[in-house]
Amino acid sequence: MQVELVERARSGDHDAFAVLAKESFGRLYGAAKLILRDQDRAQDAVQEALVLAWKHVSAIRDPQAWDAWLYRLTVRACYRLARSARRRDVLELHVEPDTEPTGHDFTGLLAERDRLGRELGQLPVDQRAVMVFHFYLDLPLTEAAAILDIPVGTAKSRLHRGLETLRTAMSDDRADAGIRSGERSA
Amino acid sequence: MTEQQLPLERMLAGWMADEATGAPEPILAEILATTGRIRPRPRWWALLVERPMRSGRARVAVGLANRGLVYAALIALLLAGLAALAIGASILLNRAGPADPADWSGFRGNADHVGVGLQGPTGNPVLAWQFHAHGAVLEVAIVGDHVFFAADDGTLSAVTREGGVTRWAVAVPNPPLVGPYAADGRLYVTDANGVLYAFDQADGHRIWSTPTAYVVPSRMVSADGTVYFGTSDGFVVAVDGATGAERWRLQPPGATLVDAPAFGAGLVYAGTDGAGYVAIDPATRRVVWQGDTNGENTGTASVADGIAYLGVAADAASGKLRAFDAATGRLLWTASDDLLQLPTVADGVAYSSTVAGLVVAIDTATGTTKWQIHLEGEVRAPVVASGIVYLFAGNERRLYAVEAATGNLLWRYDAPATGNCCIAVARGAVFVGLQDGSVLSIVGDHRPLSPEPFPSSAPSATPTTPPSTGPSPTPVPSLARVIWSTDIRRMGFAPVCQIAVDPTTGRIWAPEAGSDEIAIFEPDGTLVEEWGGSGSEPGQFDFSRGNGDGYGTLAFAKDGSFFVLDAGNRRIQHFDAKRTYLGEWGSFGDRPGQFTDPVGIAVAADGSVWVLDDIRSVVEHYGPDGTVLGTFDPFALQPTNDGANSLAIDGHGNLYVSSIAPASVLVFDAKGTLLRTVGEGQFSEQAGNMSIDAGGRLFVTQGPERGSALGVLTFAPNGSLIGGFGPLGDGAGQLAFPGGIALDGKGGIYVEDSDFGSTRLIRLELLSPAVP
Repeated sequence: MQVELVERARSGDHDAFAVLAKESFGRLYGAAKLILRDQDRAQDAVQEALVLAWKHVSAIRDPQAWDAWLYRLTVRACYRLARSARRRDVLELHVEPDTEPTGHDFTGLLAERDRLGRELGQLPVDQRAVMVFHFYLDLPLTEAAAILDIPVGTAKSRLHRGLETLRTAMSDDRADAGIRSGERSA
Repeated sequence: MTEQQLPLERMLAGWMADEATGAPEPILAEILATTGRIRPRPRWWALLVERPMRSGRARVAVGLANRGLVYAALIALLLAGLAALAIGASILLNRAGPADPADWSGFRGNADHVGVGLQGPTGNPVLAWQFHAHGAVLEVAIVGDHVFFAADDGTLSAVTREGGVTRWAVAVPNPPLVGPYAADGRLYVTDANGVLYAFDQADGHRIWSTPTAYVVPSRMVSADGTVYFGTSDGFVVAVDGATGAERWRLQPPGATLVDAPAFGAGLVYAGTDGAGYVAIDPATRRVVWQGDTNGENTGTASVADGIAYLGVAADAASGKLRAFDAATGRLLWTASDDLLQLPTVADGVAYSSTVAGLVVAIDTATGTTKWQIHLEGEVRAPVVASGIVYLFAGNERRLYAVEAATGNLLWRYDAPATGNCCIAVARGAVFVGLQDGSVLSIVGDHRPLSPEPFPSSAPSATPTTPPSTGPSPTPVPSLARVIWSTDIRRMGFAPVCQIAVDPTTGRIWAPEAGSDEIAIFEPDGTLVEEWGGSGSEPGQFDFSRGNGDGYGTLAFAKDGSFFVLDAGNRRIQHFDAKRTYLGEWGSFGDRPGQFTDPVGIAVAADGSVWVLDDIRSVVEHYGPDGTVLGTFDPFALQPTNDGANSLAIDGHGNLYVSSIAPASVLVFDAKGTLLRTVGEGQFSEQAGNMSIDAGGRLFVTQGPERGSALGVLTFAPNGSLIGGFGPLGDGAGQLAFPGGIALDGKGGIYVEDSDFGSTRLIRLELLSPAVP
């Protein structure tokens, strides 16, 4: 079905393109939001990607590569937007409020997730992209590497470095949180 | 087990799945609206620019496998092409090819100032468009599909020749400007400080300006890549057209002022103060000959067929038109009449005029007068094209077409203002720049003309108030001025079709009763496409009433979906914003949900639909799917139903029915209660189509039998008449039979004006107090 739609879109059928866009929109937006950590720029990235996809739809030679190509266009748009707004990123990340754990399991879980989001936002955008492709879009690293136009080894090392950074940051935070909890209970 | 104890990878995946939700659907709609307006790039282009992507199934899934090699080959080709271009450019830039004879380079046509156009209008004059600049406009240049002119506020503009739509406009310092003169892809103008500029015809960017400020430079011409002009300190100056570098300057012996030169047969000709008429060889930079002008105040030079002409200046108190042998300077003849200016020369006849209104045709071989006519003063230099002499009489604000062979009158056309310069004739149209900032494009209706002897005395028109132009003859303020006008005669329009503006794109949709299509125009008047066709299938229409009159209308909902009143098929067709057919309802009959003579349709803010059926004498209310919601008789309180023309709805859901007799607009609430009657005793013709702005102002058209009344009347929300626009006629700012009318919500209003000789879509800017 998707192959047929891509073939129709390739021949200029905008209705077919609209169906394809609707199918992909949620995933593309989700990926862009995770990579950019900003809803507005995520919208911009998806818009840029889909408009470009329509403009260049006739460049597709293998209709089965549609999803992968959309991911590539989206991540390219994300890279561009991240570059243009790097300064703003830093400011935004530094003004995030620090949520302190209270010792309650549920609240602690929320705090943990919040920290995870913040720490992910601190990673370089290319590491974030690999993690989003792998953990959110559930793509094998070989496929993620092909879409990102990087060697598989590079994708692996970005994923590894990203995870290690997160792991370290999370454990440091846990330790800090423990100290603060201890001070408070003393 | 808490999530804190899960492996980081699993926690990350869960967090991402939660975090990535909330995709905003309106953004998708926006994206699809954007992509719906553009077309995909050609395949070759897309393949070239899109980075290749490999996949498991295909070696290259997207783009070109060897894009690098292709690029390398293209770059090599490009370099080779550039090399060839560089060689050619040095020749082309400095050796102008002959101007396309169909074009009009600037003042008096081309470098010879002969004033002959290749093709003027055929038939009676019809205004194709009127452009409003923010300052008086003098000369106009036409090159290909574009018209160039400068306004005295310093704006140099390029507009499309067909529609008068702005392509670019640039501000030039130190107005007023002289020019433009178009040559070699450039436009030349001088500013009030005497600096000469070159601008790119394609996009208006400044190519160069001279470092020298010349002393009151004259109008310029360009030939062989060189720009020539005279100065008020007595020089003829030659400037490189490609670079702006001065090539040479020459002061003819005794010259204290040099007027606008002409170029022909390799020589530069110029009238001077102090040195007579001079011919200069630009190759040797020497004066070839000097002709005696008896010390008179002469004007612009011209040269044609081996004869160099020199008439008097516009402000001269005395003097003669003289003809010299262009090669030797020998005086051939002196015209018998005084004060004749720069002549137009065609087929052995020189046509000249005086500021007092005399127009003469002189045999160039003998200098004898063939015919003469008298106009009302300030007649600018004539233009000849295809056997017709075009004259603009400034005091009369009137353009004349005269048979070149006999001097008989072919037609006259009233302009909205006076003009102080000259007219241009090119590519089937006459272009006139006027003192009020108007630039007119006047084309022909292709009907045969019947020459008639010119009145022996001055024409009957009074100098300041021509019969069918100037201020509105009705005692109400004029509330709009024309922004652009598009000639749609070749399309299938007929009077009384209503138009509509797509709220999502701003495009104007205009049913064509003659072809059962809907023409769609961009907000700038450019035709996008014609959609539909004759028939009774979905997406086909019959835009005719039971009595055979052409009739069509449609109405949009807020989301861009729309309902077409398919009058001849007695049905309403419903389409979404992408023109997908959603359904229809209606058949011939007089029961609820049926139509006998449906003439008006309006969509309420809630998406429900109202239809006026003239013969059923009902206004009926429907759901978007055609479910009948209610019905009322708009003529219940009147002795009879003498007919209705149109239906409109305002922002409060009140319904407006334009009544034929008495001519008025009946306003009802959504329950059918009559709220007020508008315009009774103030219409001079049937009340026609309507449009209502957000503030409740009502704009109503009236037809061609309205005499001296305006074509569109405007009423305040309380029903009082506050003004109107469009006196009867097919000239600029006039309306013949205004059919369709639609506000754009941005201070503008579109009017479709149709009669048998002139059909136009016009955009007007509303003036206070009609501005929303």
